[in-house]
Amino acid sequence: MARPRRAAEGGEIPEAEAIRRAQGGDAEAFEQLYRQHSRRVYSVVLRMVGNPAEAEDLTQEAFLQLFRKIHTFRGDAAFSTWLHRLAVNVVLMRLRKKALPVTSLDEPADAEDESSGPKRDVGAADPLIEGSVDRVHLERAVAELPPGYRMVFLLHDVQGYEHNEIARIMDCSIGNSKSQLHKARTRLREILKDFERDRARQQRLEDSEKAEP
Amino acid sequence: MIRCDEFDVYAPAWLEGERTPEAAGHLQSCTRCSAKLADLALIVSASASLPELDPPERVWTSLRAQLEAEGLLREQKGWLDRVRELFPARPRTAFATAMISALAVVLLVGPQSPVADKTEGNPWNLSRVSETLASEEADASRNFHLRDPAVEASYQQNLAMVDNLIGECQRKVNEDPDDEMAREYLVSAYQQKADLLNALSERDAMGD
Repeated sequence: MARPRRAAEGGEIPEAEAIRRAQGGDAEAFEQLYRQHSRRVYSVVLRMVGNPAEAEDLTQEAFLQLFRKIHTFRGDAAFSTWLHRLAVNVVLMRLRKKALPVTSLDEPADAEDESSGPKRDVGAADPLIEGSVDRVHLERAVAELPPGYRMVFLLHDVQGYEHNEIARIMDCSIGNSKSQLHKARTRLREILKDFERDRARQQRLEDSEKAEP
Repeated sequence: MIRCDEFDVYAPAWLEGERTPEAAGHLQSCTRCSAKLADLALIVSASASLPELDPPERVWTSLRAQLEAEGLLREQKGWLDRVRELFPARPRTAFATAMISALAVVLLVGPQSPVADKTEGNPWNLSRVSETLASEEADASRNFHLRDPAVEASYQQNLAMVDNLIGECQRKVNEDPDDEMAREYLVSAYQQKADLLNALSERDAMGD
């Protein structure tokens, strides 16, 4: 189940009523819907594009498309799912314009694997991540994921969407969503271990410099 | 016994809590896959607590400006305009029109006017107006019904606001009968109440 939205504050009307009023052009209803959903949309957009100014533009674009099309919303899917689908499309369009390698989740996963660097040696036992995952390192590691992996990971592990919802948002199969998520998590693990190795190497270097007369 | 690359197929489900004998058997003997699974579980746990980030207020400001430019937003209206939107404008009933016109003469012209003298007894026959409106309101609540709970709630809320306004204006007029502004406000408030009651009857006739 997706992370709960920001709780309704005093004076807010139920979402279904806000949608109905927004469909009639009610400015307050528009604003309520924006306030309730903008944080989740902006969060995923920012982590996808990595640039605050661009994330602001894309968030605005996603909501603009939402409000232009809100009269077509029939309630057959969750409003949040519908909104996230618009946001994901806006992001993917922007990434494609930048000629970044965004592959459809229904393409063979090997294509994305090949574009993301040499495979690591999986023969030997890998050391564990040190007991916990540093949040800063995790954010950096997420930023290094290929866009397709990153989007599924953000929707599932960060925002709490289920695979059936992700399939609707990203127009892919549930099986592909699960597969891409596992690959994303595996890749994150490798990236985090690289950070640890780099940090350990740096520490050894500093220690040896201190030891020298 | 399954191999490590085969265990990779079971790993996602294992992380979701699904246990199979094959996967459990492999984990008991394979430190590499146990370590990997533990790491993935840590990542899943840490990811769930990554913060959500608020966009700057300028995003809404800019969005709203764009929505207005495209004509997608209705203008903000005060409470009376919102009531009028719920209740489309209709001519007032003849009685309400006559009553408020008479009241307007009394209140705005003053107690010395010939018209005011024609009102029964005390020229400041505000109590008669108040009683008449109260009677109309009682009739309305007996005979007219709003089927939409949201509209009913809005009607009751606005009725309460108008009654408060009437009460406040009446107090001011009582304190200073020569206060023309207070008299004008009182006429306006009675006018609003008559509009509200009239709109209720119209709405009921429309089947809302």
